[in-house]
Amino acid sequence: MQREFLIILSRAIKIVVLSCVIALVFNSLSPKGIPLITRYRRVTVRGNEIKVPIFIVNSDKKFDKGNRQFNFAMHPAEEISLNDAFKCFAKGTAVFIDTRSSEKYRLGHIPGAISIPIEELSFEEFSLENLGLDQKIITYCDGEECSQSVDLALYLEEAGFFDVYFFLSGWQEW
Amino acid sequence: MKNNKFTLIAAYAVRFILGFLFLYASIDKMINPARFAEVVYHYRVLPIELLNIVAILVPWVEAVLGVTLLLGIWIETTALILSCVTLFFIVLMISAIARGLNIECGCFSLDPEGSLISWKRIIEDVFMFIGSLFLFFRAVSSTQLKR
Repeated sequence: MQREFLIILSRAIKIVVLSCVIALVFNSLSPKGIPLITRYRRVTVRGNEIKVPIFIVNSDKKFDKGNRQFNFAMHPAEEISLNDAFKCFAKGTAVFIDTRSSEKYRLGHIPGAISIPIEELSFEEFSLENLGLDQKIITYCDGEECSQSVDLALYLEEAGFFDVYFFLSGWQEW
Repeated sequence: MKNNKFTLIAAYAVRFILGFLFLYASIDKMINPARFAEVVYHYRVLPIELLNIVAILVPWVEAVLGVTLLLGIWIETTALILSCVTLFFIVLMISAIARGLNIECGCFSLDPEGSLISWKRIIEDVFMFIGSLFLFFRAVSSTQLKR
């Protein structure tokens, strides 16, 4: 019985090691390979610092392999309060991006907001070519339970936009 | 375990079904590990730093298990690992449901329209778990393990 257990254990180790070796080799050769350690950003939300992972492939030009760093935009995306968001809305100084589903957008949205339903689109599928990189952008979703506003804000920041904010309380508070 | 004609046919069927399912489940994830890492992140059980390495390794473990099962290599070992893996998936999904997470399962495909975690998915995994255990006990009782 003990001998059988040892045989099974040694075979299990061989299977797992073989799988890991193939996985690591494939990952290093694949154009969609990813860094072994997940990169992340530190974002302050309501005074608490949280880590937000960045899912990026090794071949992405924004990832500088030499320095193992990302070429980030000038200032990090940060949270904006309802008051400040409303001031920007009233003055027309910011573009609002609604990240909720297109159905929810149809039912109601911040006037003038662009709809980018990121659950329906991949990040590669939308374009903001008509916006300058210095355009102030405010992203929002339903409220504090959803994360799409933060996800999109970080993506836009990585894409080179300088002045990106996420309105965390979102549509519910608006 | 009795080794009659019925259990022999059942063992073959379970072996091929599980082998195919695990191989199929691994393909999307191994092709797009960044997307799979994102799915794993939403379960919120791993430290952020480990998401990528798990997303790189897990699909290949699934694929190798699928292949060894289909080829009939070391069935008792493969079935034992499969039962551990499926049991882990079951616990993971139950814990996600208990925490009120409404997230993508990432079970068989990474399609954004893919299925969310649900009791249906858990029951599927329970069947896979039972199938793996059946293969394990049958293989252990009917074969002489050799080095």
